[in-house]
Amino acid sequence: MSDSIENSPSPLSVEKNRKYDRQLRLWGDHGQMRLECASVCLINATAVGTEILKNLILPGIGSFCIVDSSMVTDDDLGCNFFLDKESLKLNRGKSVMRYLLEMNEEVTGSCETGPLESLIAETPKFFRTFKIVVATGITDRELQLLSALLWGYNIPLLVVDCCGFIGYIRLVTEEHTVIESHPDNAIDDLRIDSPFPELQEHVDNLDLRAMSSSELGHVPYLVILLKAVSVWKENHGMESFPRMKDKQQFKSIIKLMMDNIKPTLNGNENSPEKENFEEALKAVNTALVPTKIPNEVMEILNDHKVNPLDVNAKVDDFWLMVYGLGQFVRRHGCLPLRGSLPDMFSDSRSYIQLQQLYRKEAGRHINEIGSAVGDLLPSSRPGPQSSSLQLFCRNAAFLRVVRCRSIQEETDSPNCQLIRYELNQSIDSSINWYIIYLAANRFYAEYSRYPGDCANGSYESDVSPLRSAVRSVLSALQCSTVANSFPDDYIHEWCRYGNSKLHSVASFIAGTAAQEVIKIVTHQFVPLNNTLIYNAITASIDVYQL
Amino acid sequence: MATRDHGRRWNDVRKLCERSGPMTHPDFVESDETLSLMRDHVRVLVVGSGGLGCELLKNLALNGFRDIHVIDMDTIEFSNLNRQFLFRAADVGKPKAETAAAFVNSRINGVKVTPHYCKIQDFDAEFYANFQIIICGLDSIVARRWINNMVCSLVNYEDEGNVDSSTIIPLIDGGTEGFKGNCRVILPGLTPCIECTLDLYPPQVNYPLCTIAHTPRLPEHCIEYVRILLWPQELPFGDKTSIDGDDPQHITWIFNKSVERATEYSIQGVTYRLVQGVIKHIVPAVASTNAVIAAQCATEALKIATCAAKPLNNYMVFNHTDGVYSYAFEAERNPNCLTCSRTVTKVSMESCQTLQYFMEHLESLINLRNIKAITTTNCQGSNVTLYMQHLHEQTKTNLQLTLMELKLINGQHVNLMDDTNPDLITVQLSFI
Repeated sequence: MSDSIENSPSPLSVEKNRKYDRQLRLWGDHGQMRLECASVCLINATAVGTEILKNLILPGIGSFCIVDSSMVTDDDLGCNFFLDKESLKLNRGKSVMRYLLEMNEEVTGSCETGPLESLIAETPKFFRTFKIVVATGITDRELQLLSALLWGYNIPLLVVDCCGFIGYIRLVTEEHTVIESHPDNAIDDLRIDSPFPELQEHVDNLDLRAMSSSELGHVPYLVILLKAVSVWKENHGMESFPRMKDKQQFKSIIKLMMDNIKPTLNGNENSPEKENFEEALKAVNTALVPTKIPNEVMEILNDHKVNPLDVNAKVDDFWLMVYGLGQFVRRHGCLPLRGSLPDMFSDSRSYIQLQQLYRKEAGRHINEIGSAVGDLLPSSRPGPQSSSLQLFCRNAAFLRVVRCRSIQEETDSPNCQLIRYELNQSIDSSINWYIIYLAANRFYAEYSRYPGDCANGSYESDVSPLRSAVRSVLSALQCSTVANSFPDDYIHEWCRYGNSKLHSVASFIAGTAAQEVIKIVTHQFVPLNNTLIYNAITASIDVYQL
Repeated sequence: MATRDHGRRWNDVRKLCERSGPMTHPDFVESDETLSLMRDHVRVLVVGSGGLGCELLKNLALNGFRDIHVIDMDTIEFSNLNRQFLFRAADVGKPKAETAAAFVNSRINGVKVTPHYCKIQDFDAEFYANFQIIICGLDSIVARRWINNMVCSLVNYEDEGNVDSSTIIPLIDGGTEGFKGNCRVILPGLTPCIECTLDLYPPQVNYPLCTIAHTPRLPEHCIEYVRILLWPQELPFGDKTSIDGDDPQHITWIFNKSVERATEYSIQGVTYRLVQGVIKHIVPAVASTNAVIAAQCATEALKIATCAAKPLNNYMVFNHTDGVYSYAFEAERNPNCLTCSRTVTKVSMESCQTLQYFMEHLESLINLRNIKAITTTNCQGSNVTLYMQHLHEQTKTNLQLTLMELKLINGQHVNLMDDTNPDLITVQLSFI
């Protein structure tokens, strides 16, 4: 995690720091505060639903509300950790409250026991208080109504389900912006191909030939690379820069510099380590890659939200800063300097000096972008806080925008191309489960029960009607041509499941879903886009942008 | 055995265990007795009652397992409460295994979770052989390897060298770190064991001593300076007092001294949180990722116990930092595995090296940790102790003798005891 923002003392209490320590190291105090201000709505306290809540209550979600009009059944007792025998035949939402809330006294919760459809029809504004709505075990009809309402309110919806060994998640959000995506393997922002003036000056002022062997052995590899680039330019012209094809030649320049480390005259000093030169040689591979703006960031800069930017509309600070970033990129042809350096073998002073140079330059870039944003804002509108701006600039290379299609769009104009492609790829594509999931919901709409949800002897007789449902789904997806080759095994398997809820499968999909909720609420890390299929038999996950 | 707890609550589990279908395991048998048999005869051991352990106990109980044991040597801490949901603030200080067992037993009717508040090393082969499935939710590689070695040692081979499958105890191993996790299924003697794939574990970050002592650059270097060099010098809390990462006074002292060091070198970034993280080797953890991995482990347990579907073959990785990514691959056995191959590992060594050198070399060569004993058999067939930590005074002179001086010959078998093995392991000397 970056410094300076995190150097300030934690705004969280000592107790919270203690309890939440392990997660604060992932999303920071600011992420935690967003979590604690958030309210989540859960539709149906199914096993999946309550496990999702558990995974939100434990890290300290602000509050939740459960909407559930069903009564607790024996089946519920079999898979739900937050129910006991005393709850049988009582309202399910109310019954899980006590055991959920006792896990974290900071969290508040409530429940609505009326039917979902009534709530949507009579008090739709109820949903506006939530940061996100999570729906489990809802029918197609309920999904159509709920998703249309939430899309209108611009509130994200997460649909989560499981059946037998299969899990399903669908995220719906019109636009979700991420500054802190925390990529696992970020490339360092060293700018070897375009050193800023102060850096170049600093390197030019260092005379390696005047250094003792010991000093030379402690020159940071960054300086070594820049010195080698200077030598290259002397030989090939000032506009030239070594490319990957010049790798060996470039490495020889470094090796030559390395050979100039001679033992000292009095001979007492051991032949010095050349670790910094070894680091320089290793770094050549990445150093010769030209600094470039990632495609994802270019797309954000070209996004319709900032071309043109409507300052008077209720536009998020994120887009204001993107606009400022765009100005910067137009003027300089690159992103603002990140300002941080990886560790490198060096004496302390040389390294800190370099670090300070990079930080100062990054600071100048932040100010420039801050001014650009300030200039375009009317005086009535306060700009982004300086800490937000700092975070934004440091993460300029990692910005992400996720847009998930609405359920309406998925229904009205399905991604037939993708589905056909997947079906053709492999007979065992996970898209099969998506098709069957849709078909099972159609089956329910017609028969008021799910396939195989009957006595053990008769589940096979649901195969034929489910197969018909699959055909009509494939037809709606313009994939009728593959209807005959759709693997029958999957249909039999789904009937075998008989709408069973295995707790461990519910728990897996709930763990996955809960983290998506946390991503949406904290705006950190990148949410999935947009349909996830989990197969507990093969222990695999596939995500489709449907 | 009152196990006919066949209220309707188990209907869903029974659908999966008792109905036949195209995706069941080849050994699946359609029977309405499957769940009863599982509840009556399958005893599961959960190793570790922390982030993964709590989830495992819940999952196994609700998946229908009735006889579950759990081992954990730790007591509950405040920092556990963000994910170890069987514990409350009032439980801090109590043994994890006992608290977890009591909770699950009271919440779920009919399950019997038996806790063991002790170390895994406190039990012998007879104890572990009693289980039909063992699931690990550990945070230590050494402990994992110990269990792996124990389970692999229980496997018997028939005359032709085939594995006697009745002695195989499936080992399911789960691990998490931040938003990453993995789950694997090990059938000892048949599929790769933990030792086969040791290189899947990244090495621990250690900063070079000369950097810490002379050229600090990062806040971590400053903290390590205080831990490794300053504390042993100043002994701020008494001569015999070593660093206790859970003592806020110790951490505060280290924090203040680290800030001093950092200020001296103009290094930014030393925070109390960072100091704790470095001193305690803290690994970030959240409820969601633990839930995911423990869930897969419990699903594997059900599949193995009932053949309801084929188990994972054999290693799943999971990461939900960027979207959600998960895939399973078939890790391969190491034909020269120290643990599960039936070959004796050869170790090359110069006969002029000392015993101490040999032991240090062994530790890095075959990843042993803290060799406690090294013995051999002399030409008369009697056991000879070369060195034993337990008998350090009596055996320490041998450490400085060469292998030749110790009368060891080329091809000689040497037996070792270390922290990763419950029992002696044997290697063969090959002089160079």
